[in-house]
Amino acid sequence: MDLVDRYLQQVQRYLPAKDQDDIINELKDDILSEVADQEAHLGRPVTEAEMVNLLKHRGHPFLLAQRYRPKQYLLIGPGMLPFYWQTLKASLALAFLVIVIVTAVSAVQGAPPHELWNLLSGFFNVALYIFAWVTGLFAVLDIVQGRLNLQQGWDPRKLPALARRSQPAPRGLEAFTELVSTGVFTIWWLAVPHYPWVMLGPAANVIMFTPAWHQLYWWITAPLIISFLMQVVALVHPQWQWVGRSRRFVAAALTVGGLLLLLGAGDLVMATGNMPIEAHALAMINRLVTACLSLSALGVSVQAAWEGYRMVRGKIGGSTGRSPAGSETPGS
Amino acid sequence: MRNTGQAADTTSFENLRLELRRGCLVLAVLGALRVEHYGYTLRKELTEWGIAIDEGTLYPLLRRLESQGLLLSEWREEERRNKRFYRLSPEGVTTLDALAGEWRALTASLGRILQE
Repeated sequence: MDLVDRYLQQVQRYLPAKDQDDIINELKDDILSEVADQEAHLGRPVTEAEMVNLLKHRGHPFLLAQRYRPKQYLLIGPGMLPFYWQTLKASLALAFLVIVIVTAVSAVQGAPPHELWNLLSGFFNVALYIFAWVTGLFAVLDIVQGRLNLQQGWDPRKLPALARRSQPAPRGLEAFTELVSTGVFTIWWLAVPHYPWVMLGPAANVIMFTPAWHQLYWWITAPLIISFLMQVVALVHPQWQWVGRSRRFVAAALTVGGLLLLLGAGDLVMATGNMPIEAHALAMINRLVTACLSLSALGVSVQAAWEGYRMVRGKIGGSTGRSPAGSETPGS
Repeated sequence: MRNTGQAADTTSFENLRLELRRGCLVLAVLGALRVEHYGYTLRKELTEWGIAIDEGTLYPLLRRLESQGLLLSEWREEERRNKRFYRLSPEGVTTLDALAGEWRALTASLGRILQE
């Protein structure tokens, strides 16, 4: 029954969360009833090849799950919808935070009230752009995801192994969301040396990065690109579970290395010379940067340790034969 | 070119055939569920009646009909497995009667048209 559970696990990935157990239990019963019928007819247990044919006849897990999609979702399917909302809310919150900080900095610098209001009200324009881009991006991902999975060839024997309850395999949608987040962050990061204001905001007129920062820039960029590539691999080849399990640990460990290098580089910002800034203010900014980097290094170290533990535990634990729908039958 | 044309004709016919069947499936499912069934036995019975329906079509259809209040369902254990049993709701019975009337009128009309 391992093939059946693996098949259902894949179907479950693309179903709306609230109906997953209900649908999977019903499909499982249908498959097992058909198997029992065939075995009664043949007078022997079905072979693996016969089971493969039976599952192939039912169709690719993605296509089967598509049949359960409610029609009211025109752009983004219910499977992708929670990740869409999550990304939209996070992006809007981040944009709002940045605008509030920029407004606060401007207020401290003595900007007049109408300029502060202009800055704050700019959020509505930004929110509109974010909404349009995130929605468009997820609509495209929703379509591409299905095609990408179908292009991998449809053979039930190649379905990913069953995930353990405590160590789930990277789900396609989660992997996509991570990929989008890392992709956006990487683009932003790559823009920083050419357009420092995307990181420094209005302060870019007063301060800029030191040569030490520029020297270490690619040491920080490399983990991002490696992490991005591992996420692509985890998505395209979900059966390569070691990539899925190790990608977060590798990204976190490399980030810690990069942050430690930055911490050892001394001052990371200096005066541009375009506008006057007092030496003690500059020193305070550098201390603030160091404090932020130290806190980040500590947080990411904890994350790296946790991901390392999960990775090792996942390898030792292997996979179990649990039913993807769990043992409880809803509605009973 | 001829092969391409034949393939297009076959695809076109298949699409029309599926379209024709799709409308009948609701009536067939509602009719079969005058007697309680779980999914697999319903599928088998429909196949025996000459209306083959795959599980990817049947189960979403059952969910839709249930959400429309035409079916009632209940999880029960049978043959040591939990199964979801479906039957017509009182509203489903009324709807089935009305649809069956429409069907008879339609087939009578089509019968006359096709004879001419």
